[in-house]
Amino acid sequence: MQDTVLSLKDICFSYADATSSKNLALGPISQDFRQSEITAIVGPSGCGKSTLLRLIGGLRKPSSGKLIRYHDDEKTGFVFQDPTLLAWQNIRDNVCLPMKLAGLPKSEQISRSQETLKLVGLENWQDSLPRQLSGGMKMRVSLARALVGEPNLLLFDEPFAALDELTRNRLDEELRQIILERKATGIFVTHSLSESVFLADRILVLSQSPGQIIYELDVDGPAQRDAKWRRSPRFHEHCSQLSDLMTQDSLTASQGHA
Amino acid sequence: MKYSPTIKQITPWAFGAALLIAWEIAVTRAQIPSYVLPTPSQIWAVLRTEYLTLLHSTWITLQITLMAFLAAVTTGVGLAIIFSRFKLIETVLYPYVVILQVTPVIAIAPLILIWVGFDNVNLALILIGWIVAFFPMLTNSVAGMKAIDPDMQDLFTLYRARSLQRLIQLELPAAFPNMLTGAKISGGLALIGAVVAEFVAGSGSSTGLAWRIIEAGNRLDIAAMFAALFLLSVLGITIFHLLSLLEWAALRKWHPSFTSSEPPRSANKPSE
Repeated sequence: MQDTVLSLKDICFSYADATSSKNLALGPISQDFRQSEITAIVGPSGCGKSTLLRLIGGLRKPSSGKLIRYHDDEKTGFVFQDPTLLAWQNIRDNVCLPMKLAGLPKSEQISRSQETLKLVGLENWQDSLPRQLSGGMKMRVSLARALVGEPNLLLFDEPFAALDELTRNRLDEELRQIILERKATGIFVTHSLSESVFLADRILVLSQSPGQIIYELDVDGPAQRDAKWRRSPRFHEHCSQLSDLMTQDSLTASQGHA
Repeated sequence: MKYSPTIKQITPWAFGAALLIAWEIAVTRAQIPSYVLPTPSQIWAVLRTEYLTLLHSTWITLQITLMAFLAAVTTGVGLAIIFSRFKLIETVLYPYVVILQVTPVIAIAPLILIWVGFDNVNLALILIGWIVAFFPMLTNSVAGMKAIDPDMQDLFTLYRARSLQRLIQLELPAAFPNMLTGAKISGGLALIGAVVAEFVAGSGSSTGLAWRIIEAGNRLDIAAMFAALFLLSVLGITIFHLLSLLEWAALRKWHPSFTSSEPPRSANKPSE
């Protein structure tokens, strides 16, 4: 059995609104995340899945509940929906940013950024500025920056949503490979059901706001995944299963409002 | 109809030259006395004969303008940084900054001259220039820092950036284009503030270009007034263009305001 690296215990998140009464946006959620496992979080828009990811990354504080990370020296990488690159710095400096902030020696920054850029296939673009790159390439830089610190927890917030389907499929394949090779934990927020089935070992379905986990699906797929997996009957079965679930949830929710 | 770049560059100058020639001819033909409207050649003559005094005055006004401008830049950016760190200070101070801005400076100037100017008139002049130039610097810096992508801020939080690292690596460079916009406005306003201050201070206490204008006006030496006015314009234009040059040098490689006018780059980009 794989190690549990991260646990959420009754996590809730509320927005304090103008009248200071609290609005529950998310939770309560309890969930374990394991090493070398990719979890996808899907749900209707506004259900708080991006917030959940930020809570896991420590970028927001939960209103109640506990977040436990079991290993010392936990490092987190985060890939946002947009590449979020510093426009005035070249690709190398952008990838070096986490190491620069951590105060690593310059030589180590250079060698590690080179290595990581090679991994994402951009070793010839180190001196370019972000604006000289295509959308997919910028996303690769963003991915390299998330990987360069060798994190054991990688968080993705719909990172490839703005890319064309072919680029997106290719990046999904590479991403799964990289996470598994590094024995990291990957958590992936997406609104694409097929992307979640392609990438993840496990899919958490969130309900309408306030988001709660209404279903947990173990994806019955191979460890190595490529186009063949995308064409398999099992893949499509999972996709329609998820689609049915979410339609049902939205129906219940609209009946609740009526 | 499309014009070549050379024609586009030459025509404004040619128009100016034509205007000057028309001015010269009209004033000479109509025999307008020089104490009403001097000819361009008479103004030029003043510039040539009195260039030492005029250059000295230009230098004085330039000094006051630059000091007021630098004060505006440092306090504007400094206060913007403080506002970004301490929201309470922003809430408390901002109304007073606005009051300082909306009160006509010419109405405050006499007070400042009385309080500060007796011992040190230049300090009073700088202070008045600063009041005029400060606001655009502050508002543009604040706007620039507030416009930073929240995901970018989260990224720095994730990597446990210290406050100073966040400031130097993210906030100042990201807000720099806005600061330059503010600086271009402030530079011109600092000059206006300096001139207004000199006017209020009156003759005798200051020897800048505005004082030259007052003094020449008293003597009905209209050509000398025009000469000083001309130098003021040159000063303003120079300040603006130097700041534009700085903007171009700092931003041309990465900022959309410069890069988007280039031919689309997508042709050079390799496909995925």
